[in-house]
Amino acid sequence: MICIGIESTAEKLGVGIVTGDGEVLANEKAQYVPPPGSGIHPSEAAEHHAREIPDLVDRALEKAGVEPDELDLVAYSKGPGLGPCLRVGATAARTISLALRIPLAPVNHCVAHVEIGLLSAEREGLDFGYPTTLYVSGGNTQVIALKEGRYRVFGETLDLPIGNMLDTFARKVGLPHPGGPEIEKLAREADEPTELPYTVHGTDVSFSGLLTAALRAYEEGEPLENVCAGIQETAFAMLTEITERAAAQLNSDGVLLTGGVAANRRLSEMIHTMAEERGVEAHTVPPDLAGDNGAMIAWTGILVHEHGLSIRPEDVPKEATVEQKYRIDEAPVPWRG
Amino acid sequence: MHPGLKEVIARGRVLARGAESIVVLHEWFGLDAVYKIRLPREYRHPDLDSRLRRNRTRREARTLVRLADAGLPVPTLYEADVEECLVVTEYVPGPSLRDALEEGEAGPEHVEELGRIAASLHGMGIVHNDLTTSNVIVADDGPVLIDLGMSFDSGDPKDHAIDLRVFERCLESSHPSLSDELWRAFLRGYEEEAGEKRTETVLRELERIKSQVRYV
Repeated sequence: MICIGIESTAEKLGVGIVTGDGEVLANEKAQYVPPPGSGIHPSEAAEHHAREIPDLVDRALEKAGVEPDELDLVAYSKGPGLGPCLRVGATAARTISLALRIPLAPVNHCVAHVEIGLLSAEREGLDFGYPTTLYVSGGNTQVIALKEGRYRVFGETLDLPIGNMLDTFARKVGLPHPGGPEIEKLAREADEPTELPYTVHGTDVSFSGLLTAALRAYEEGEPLENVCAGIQETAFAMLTEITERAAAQLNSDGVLLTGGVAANRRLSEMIHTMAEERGVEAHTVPPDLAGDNGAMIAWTGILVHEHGLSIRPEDVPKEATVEQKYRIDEAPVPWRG
Repeated sequence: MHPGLKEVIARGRVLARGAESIVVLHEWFGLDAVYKIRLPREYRHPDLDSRLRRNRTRREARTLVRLADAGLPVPTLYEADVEECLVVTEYVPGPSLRDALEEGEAGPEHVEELGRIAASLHGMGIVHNDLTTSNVIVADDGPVLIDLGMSFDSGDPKDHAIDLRVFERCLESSHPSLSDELWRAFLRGYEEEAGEKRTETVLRELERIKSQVRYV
């Protein structure tokens, strides 16, 4: 079984090729970068993806050393995401399915983050029976775990996603996009983290007060390094706390950290320290598989297909849809049942 | 840590090891008591850690006393020590509402009563801030509210809606097959205590919070 997966929920475009044994043969990416000083424009991101995707598919096939007629399955990100971006990926996937007469697997983007994370943990020799996942990116901040046969959200941000908060702060103080890595670098030079509001509501967090206070501290002359360290120490401790609260309620035997912000070393360190204190294992998904990527869609597509949930080529025109607000608990995951 | 506390942990029965504390059943001057000790957390910056643990200890003790004064069902406070980040309370036997719902030992009537209690709390200008089925004990004479360390004072319906948000999602994630029925029961109890007008305002704020959450 060889599957090609297309990820196009937001500003990143990914094409991955994965085997039924979970071997990642290719994981090619392209990123839409908004003009300096502005956020993501969905239609411009979609245009970028439409322009790049034929090339990216070719590159992935070449990298994997796979001919198109060797593909058994094509998977795409059905949602959640930005409508125009999702439609580009779905259209490309439909085209591949119809041209090669191979089935098409619709994949929930958030489920894919967890599944590739679990595959990555397994390859490191970790066997999680019942993990709690912290999924942190530019557009998502969620604590996810399995309950009654579905992945469900046990905690999340009530306002800004963590990556969005970091990017917004960076943009307003004149640091380049994406902001996370810049903030991490500066934080290492701090002598003392700035004290900022710590806002946790049960298993939820809120970052808007922290962002406002951080910007104010900077404007009032607090060294940028200290503000960056304050943001990291406060925001990441909040995230670690809600992850632990969910893990404690669920009696989880492991913690998985994934999403683009998982690349931050301080956050990863906090999650590992917390897990160690609880006496459970933790796994930080490596950046190549943690950020939005095509391999996670391909791998989850294989699971979807093996459990009879893929679409036959003849049904593709009417059944292959996208869903901007596709909730994680709406996605069937019979392989976890 | 005070050597006495080390002994409590060593000799008592550990009831729970949560995200912020270890909870131990041990005797207190001849009474069965629950020792809640907020141990230092290595992952947090030490200044932030100490600030949080002390604030929450203070908050928990203060809110327990205020709720008990108002006649709301909370364990009796025996002792609090901000330096040691310790709160000692009465031991209330019984399962958590979470477990009781899963085992079928509790039902909508308990959740409805919890709705009334939450509305009373909000009426006093207090937000629980971690209102989940794990933080309620089903005692012989009804639900008892625990874990008040994150509570804060606010009469603002926006903040009251946070309790509803946390509770609603707890039902959706932890009790998915019962969540609709239990949520209706909660709101029934809430409205009975808070009245139609206040409930409507809070529900409007709840919708606003939910529409703010971005999923991309």
